Amino acid sequence: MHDDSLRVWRESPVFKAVCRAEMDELRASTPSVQAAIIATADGFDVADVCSDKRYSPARLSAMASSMMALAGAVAKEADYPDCGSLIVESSGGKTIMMSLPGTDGRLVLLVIADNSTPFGMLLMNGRQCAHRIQQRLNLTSDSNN
Amino acid sequence: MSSEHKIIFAGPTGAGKTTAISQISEKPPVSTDVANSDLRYGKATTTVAIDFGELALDGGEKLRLYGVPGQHRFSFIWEIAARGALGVILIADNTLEDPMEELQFYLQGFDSFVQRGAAVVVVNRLETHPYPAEEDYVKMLMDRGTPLPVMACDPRKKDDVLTVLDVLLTVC
Repeated sequence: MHDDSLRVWRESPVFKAVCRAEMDELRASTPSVQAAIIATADGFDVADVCSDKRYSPARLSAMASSMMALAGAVAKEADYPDCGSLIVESSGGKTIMMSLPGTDGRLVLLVIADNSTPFGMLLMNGRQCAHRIQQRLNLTSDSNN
Repeated sequence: MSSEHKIIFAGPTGAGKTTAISQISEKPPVSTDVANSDLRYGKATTTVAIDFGELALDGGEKLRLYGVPGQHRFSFIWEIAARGALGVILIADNTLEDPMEELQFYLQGFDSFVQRGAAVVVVNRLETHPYPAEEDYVKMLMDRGTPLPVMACDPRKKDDVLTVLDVLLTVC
């Protein structure tokens, strides 16, 4: 009845370590990134790299799951099949949320960045990070069940 | 009185909020249910943002029905969803180990509604779990100084949910 793949991902040290390593790589290649978090679709934090303690991975994970679910509902209302990513633009910076490829939307990558990196580059680097996680963990839709 | 009202459905995970809204909404509700990985709850999916439904009343008034997630980690969304709401339906799940204690969290979370009496407490699954009884909920609410209507309700039954709405609209 429960989503066992999500639970396995939440509890796997290897999974968490790979996610952290790739998010560290994202921060190294994109200095504007202040925090990156992998969250489950039902709002639990799996792994995070944060520049300081003002960010709460638990709280941000719950918010990311709500936001992606709402964005998915908007996409459905517009007759689109899914929602791949969501962007929050602010004078203080940008936040990107995107479904991790190969997880059928069950995992979300959240990236918080200041405005020092051009948006296109931030988005591209975030997507590359998500794809690297997918490749290293061999995530496919078939592996979800 | 405005011709459109916003009503909030709140309560523990699995209490029947999504079911209640789906029973009375005239259109298929907007759903934000996702796969559930939390072993504490015996359900395959769970609401992580809002449920949204609509209902037109005989007098021409329209109700916008918002269900909010029950898990504490989503409490940030309660305040957002509750802005401008007329009242709150708090659903207690009598199958929980201590449903009245669990209800305290939601009474506190929607305190501004509870304090002004713009709320109704609904008790689900009384037929299989008769205790605490409705009277116990009434006494608990009286003891905490926030008397509210208390009603048994099966969220799977449209008439039950409509009766609860009727009571809420009467007290608000």
